[in-house]
Amino acid sequence: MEKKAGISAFEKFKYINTINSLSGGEITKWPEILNMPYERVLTKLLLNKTESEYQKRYSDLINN
Amino acid sequence: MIEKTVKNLHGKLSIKIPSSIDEITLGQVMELLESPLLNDLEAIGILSGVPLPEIQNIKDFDDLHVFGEIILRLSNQLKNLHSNNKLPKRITFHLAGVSKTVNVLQNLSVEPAGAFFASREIIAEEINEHITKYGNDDWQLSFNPSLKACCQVLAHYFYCRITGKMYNEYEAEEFTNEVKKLRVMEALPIAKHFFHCYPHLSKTKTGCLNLLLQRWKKKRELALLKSLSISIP
Repeated sequence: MEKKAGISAFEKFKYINTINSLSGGEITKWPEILNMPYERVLTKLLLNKTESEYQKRYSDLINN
Repeated sequence: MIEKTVKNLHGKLSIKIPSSIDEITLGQVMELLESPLLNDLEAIGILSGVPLPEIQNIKDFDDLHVFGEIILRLSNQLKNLHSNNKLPKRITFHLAGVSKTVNVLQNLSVEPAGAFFASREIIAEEINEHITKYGNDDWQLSFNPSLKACCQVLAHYFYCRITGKMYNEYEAEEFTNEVKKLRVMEALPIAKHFFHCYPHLSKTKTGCLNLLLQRWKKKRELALLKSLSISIP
């Protein structure tokens, strides 16, 4: 689905995609995130991933 | 260093070049390797920092004979540039006349996040380029990162620690000019460390609580195994 919609167009922005996502799309917060310890950022990314997987499983359970 | 004063059309000219690979800077090696058909005069220019036209105006080129032997020795030493993997304990930068020495930690995790992301991208691109050219089979054995990529990674790694400023990707990229002044035999092992560690440039830390939980879990597992009389190899 995502491929069909053209997600590859975002590849050229490289890690800025991650920064933009973590900042909730607010450019003024980019420097703040870029200056955070990497380990904290990684923890947040892992948390987001776990949350999203949980949401997907939860939705699947409700819909079935 | 070896120094000689020679005469050129405008008067006297002092030329000083490194006599061993340990004295050459990363920037000098980058410049030397950029031109595959480098002649001795150009090499003297790069190693001494004296502009080439001034060297070309020397009255008697026999005066430069002493540098010829050194350049030959250096070029032989440069062939083994990538063989040194010993991390230096300390490294010194000279910024605007002020020296700043920092410890080179054994755990070279890249901080902050911006520096980590930028370094990871430089390394990934370099490795992908190598694999595209030479194939995927045992690429680690033939892979040596380019000096340009090494310089960029070091710039992102050292920028905040040396300048004491907040991370800024544009300023970190400009910091390559300072990294180029480092001695190649000190700078290269540090940079290569990151390429060898890739993609594990840093370790995940989920806090003390998680660490305690992991230890407690491990302890319980060990106790269980002990009670079951299962030996652990």
